[in-house]
Amino acid sequence: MSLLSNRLINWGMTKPRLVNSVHSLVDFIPPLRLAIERRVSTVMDENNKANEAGNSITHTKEDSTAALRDTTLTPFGKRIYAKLNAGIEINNKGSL
Amino acid sequence: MRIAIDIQGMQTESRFRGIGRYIGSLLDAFSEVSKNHEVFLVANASFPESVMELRDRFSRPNSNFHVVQWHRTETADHHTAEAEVTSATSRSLFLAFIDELKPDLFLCSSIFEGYLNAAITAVPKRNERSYVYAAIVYDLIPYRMASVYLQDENYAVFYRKKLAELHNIDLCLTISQFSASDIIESKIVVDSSVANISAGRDACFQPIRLDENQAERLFKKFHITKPYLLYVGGSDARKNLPRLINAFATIDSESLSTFQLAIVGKIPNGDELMQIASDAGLIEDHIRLLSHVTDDELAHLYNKSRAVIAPSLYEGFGLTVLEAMACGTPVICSNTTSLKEVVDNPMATFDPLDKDEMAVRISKVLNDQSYRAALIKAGLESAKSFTWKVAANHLLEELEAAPPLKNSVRAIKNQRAFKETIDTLTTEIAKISGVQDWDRGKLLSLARSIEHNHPLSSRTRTLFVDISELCQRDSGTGVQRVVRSLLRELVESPPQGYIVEPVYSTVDSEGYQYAHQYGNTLFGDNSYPSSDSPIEYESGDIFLGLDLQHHVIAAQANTLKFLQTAGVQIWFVVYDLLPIQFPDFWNPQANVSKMHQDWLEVAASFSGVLCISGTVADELSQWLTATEHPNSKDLNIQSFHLGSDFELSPRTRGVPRDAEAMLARLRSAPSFLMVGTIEPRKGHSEALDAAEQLWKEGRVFNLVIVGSRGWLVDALLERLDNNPQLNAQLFLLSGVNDEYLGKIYDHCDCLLAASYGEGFGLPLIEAARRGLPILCRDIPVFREVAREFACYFGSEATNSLDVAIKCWLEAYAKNSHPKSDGLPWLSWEQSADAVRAVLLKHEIPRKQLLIDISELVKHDAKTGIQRVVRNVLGELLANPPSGYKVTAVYACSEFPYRYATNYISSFFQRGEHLATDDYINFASGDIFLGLDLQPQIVAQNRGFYQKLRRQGVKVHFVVYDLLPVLSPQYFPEGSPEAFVPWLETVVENDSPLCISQAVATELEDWAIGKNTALSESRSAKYFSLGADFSGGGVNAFAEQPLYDINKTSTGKPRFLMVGTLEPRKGHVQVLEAFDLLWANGVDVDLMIVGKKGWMADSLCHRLLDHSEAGERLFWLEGISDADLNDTYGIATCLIAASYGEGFGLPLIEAAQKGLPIIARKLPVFEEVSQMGAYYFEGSAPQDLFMAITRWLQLYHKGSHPKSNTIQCVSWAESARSLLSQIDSLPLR
Repeated sequence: MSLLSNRLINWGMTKPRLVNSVHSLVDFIPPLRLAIERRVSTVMDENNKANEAGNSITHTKEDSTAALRDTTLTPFGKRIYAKLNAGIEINNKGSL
Repeated sequence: MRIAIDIQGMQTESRFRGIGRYIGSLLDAFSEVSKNHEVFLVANASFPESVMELRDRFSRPNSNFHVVQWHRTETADHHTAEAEVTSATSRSLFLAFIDELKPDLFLCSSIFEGYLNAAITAVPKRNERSYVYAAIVYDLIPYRMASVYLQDENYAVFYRKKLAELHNIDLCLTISQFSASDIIESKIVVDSSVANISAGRDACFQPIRLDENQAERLFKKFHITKPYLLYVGGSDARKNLPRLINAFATIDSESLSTFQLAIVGKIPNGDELMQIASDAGLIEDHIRLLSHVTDDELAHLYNKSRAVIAPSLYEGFGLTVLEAMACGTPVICSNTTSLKEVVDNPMATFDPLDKDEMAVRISKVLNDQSYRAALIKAGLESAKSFTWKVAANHLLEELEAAPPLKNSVRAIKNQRAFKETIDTLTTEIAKISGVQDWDRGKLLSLARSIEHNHPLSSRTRTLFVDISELCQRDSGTGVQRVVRSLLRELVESPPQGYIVEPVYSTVDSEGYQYAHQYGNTLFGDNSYPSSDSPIEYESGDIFLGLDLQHHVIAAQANTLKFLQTAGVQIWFVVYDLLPIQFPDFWNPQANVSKMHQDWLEVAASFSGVLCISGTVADELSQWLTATEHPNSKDLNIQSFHLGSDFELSPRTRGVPRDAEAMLARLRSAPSFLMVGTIEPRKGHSEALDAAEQLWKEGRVFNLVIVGSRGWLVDALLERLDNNPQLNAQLFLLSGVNDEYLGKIYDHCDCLLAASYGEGFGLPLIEAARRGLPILCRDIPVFREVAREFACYFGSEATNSLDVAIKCWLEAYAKNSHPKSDGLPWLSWEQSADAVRAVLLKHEIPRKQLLIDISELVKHDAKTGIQRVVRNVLGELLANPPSGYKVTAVYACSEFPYRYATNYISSFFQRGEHLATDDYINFASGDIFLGLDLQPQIVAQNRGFYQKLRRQGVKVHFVVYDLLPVLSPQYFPEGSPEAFVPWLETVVENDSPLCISQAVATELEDWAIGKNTALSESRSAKYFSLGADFSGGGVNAFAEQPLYDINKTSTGKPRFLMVGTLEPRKGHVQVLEAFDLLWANGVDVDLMIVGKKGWMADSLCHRLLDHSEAGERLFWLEGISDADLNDTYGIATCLIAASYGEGFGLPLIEAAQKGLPIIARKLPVFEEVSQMGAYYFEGSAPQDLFMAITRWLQLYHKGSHPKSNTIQCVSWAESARSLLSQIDSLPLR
């Protein structure tokens, strides 16, 4: 499997079987392959720079960045996060 | 006793100081003397580099010590408002973590940690904790010398706050008697015992004879040129160094020219000290400053010193004095604080404020031989009493003697659910001023810390006991008696790791509610909340349908399915199948049979059922099969027996006026007693028939029927009412209270149990407990309960009831009837034990065996390694190690790993599919097994594996081979370089698991070459691979064969090669050898099975363009496992020509098929095949040509090596062999 395919799968952008089919096709169209790899490379560079600067992925909007970080919690972690938020909300209302 | 010990003092900067050394040495010794206690060493995850050291040091196999780590919130800049917030939240996290450990006693080994670092110590008030709080207080130096040590305002605030917290401790431990007295006098502890546990010395501090060379090296290293007076310690004010230097300067000139003063320790103000020395007239040669020395070097320095001096103004103990004395070195020291206590010799002490007296002592100790000898002797004697074992025993005595804390608010809370811990903690944190301003990232990080601190796997689970009928109305039926008794037992003694919550539902409510109000009524202690609320559940909880409420279960079936999907196990107690077995015994209009059937169908569709007898279990099993219930094969059917220790003393009292007359009549003749509701199933009619028959024959006996009127018995009751023997030999008693029933039992001679069907048989046990003989129908459940302790009737082999009564009476007259005295019965406690055991035996394991199958999830390339991964995974999933849940995981980009739920669903072709796989959670005790080979991903996640290990997860990788580094010529450019980071990752984790001894040896050698030699506890292990084609999942991904293998069935000898086409496999040599064979007229086939790998373009072209292609040369690319199996079947011989292998799976597969083998002479092939293969050497085509020719000659004579001598293991055995190499797994 090509580097491109690996990256696509790693990012959760597609499924391995689909990638297998698509990448065989892409491999036979060099300009298309080059264009995609160039784009992938640009995005990866942006991400690396962003990560180095302590930020998260920059090619998405701020909200979706936060959402992405949120998803890295396990379901139990998400419940804890929700409880914390709910507690803070209650306290904020109480203080008004 | 469960003891939690805070060891942050071994993690912060203190670990380089005396406190860290003290705690470490004390705990080493404590681990030897505290075997009867469970000890948790609580580490702070913010000091990651120390955590693994602590685990290695204390978490040894079979140790009672467990290292656990807790996570705080991110730190903030010191002395800011934000630092206050993070500190407050971390305090809450820390205390909640300790609470969840549920210790009986908590020991804080260094209470003043946390200034300008991430450590957190906290002493909750007594009414806010459930454990005894002990703390070691080493000294009160800043308190006593505030003007010197509390000049920094921030530190002063911090220190005083900590001092104030000491008010709340229960046990204050000190390291000297002086410190104990000082603490008592200072009144910094209130209502606390204060005890001295003292200190010890490490074994390296002993008299040592250094030879001249060693001494010279030592002196050279530290620039010591003369005999020296040694000082060891810091240079802060209380150490009194300026006065020491001044005193040294005033000793006589001869001594001054003979001796040096060596100062060992962290001396940040060295220049200042040298200036003082200069001012006192000393020159550079007089003083040596030695910054850092190891323990061994220090021991040598003590031993070689002329004398040791400790001029300190204040010490909590004086470890250096002890160490020097133990080395047999003369010691002089201050006559203040704890030093005089340790040295215990007035001859050795001086006033530290008196420079002149100090100088006199120095001169004396340097020059007076008899004085020195006396000090050495006294010092060695004093040192004997200070050992770490003695200190550890003191510690143990004090901890064991600490009075338990009286019940507090938190003590009660600790008995409640895990959920409440999380709720309380999140609510508490949300209230902390400043948390409201935290951004999403900080809150997420906080949520992660809480999750790490309180993993779901360690939580107290809940056993929900459904008592829907009982809590609505207690009508005193037999089932309700059972429900009440079992509930009481389970609540009072829950299964280990569970709390028990009675719950209920109704036909028209949504889901289940906690039966708090009923709980308060039943137990009468108001320990439950005052109102009922909906239940909250987590995966791993258990729902036990104890009560029998047909309508409610039917209405809540979907709720229960939902609970099951969420990971809750659903169990039901089945009392009987009677309405289904005997539908005629119930009123047809009530539709009881249908109702019971519907209920049973629902009950049987979940995790398991607990039947109240083995008989009911058998009947249920038969019914499920007969009705083709969809869950008939998977349902877990277990049985237990009910308890019978109902109170025999009467609950309701009073006897009727004519009772005495009645009882006298019962005594007048043998009396048979029937007890129970009068209903058709109980067999009253048959009993009456038999009695009438015998009465007609003139037999004299009584039939006593006690019971209330049931259903479908109008005709029977009329017959009884009009019976001529009524009140003569037939007695019908209803509304009998307990006291009267007891008397009736006592006056009857035999219990008659004529029931056609029962779930258990409680009346039999009650009769036996009263010593009443039993005559009962021969039905399986009565046989199960009464065994040989009853007389039976009614089966084909035994008599009808009238004959049975006749026989029984005759035997009774001769006292030869079966006695019921020996009939075994259980208490409710024992009955509940059986229920607990079943539920615990089948609980969802808490620990996880996480199997990394990252490559397989991405792409099943059907390589040999993936065949191993599929087969081992299948075996482990089917037969998980005891106490572990096997779960497959894979690496993903945004977080290291997810559960491979969707892949496993496909693997078993279940058809279930989740939108996304969840991220993995992990906890101490889990095991991560890197089964798949994904070098790049593993190397990228290097840090994550260490994170797992710090959390207490064992991390093992399977190593298939080291070929890319040992034989790089066979791999594409860059492969070895990519492989090395993977190997480095593998060896820095727990024992690597190699697929052969040869690979294990190669790995050990490689690690030594890299200076990363594996320690004994992490040495490389090896296991055997399997070879059977019936293993789980082998055919799960079978594809259509690319080639019709039958075409190769030509009758000629057929040689087979199996393996990816790559240079290492030796295809080129084999092909050229066959060219020679064919050129020499040898008519043989060559079948090559394998996908095209790397550096194989030329080989593939040769195969495809070969003149024998499709004739005598066949390349089968990408065939399924099933077709490979068939190919082995039609081959004559396997050729294993590889230049290097980790194992040689094809050899084992061939051997299992009885296929002869020609193999290259490699250590690993010899390890696998031993005498079962024909070996060849040389890499020239001619070498192999000769070998095959010779082999063919042997083959035709039948004298070739037979592969059936090769030991083959199945994949099941292979998986077991792998597990047996993981030390942390229990022995199987």
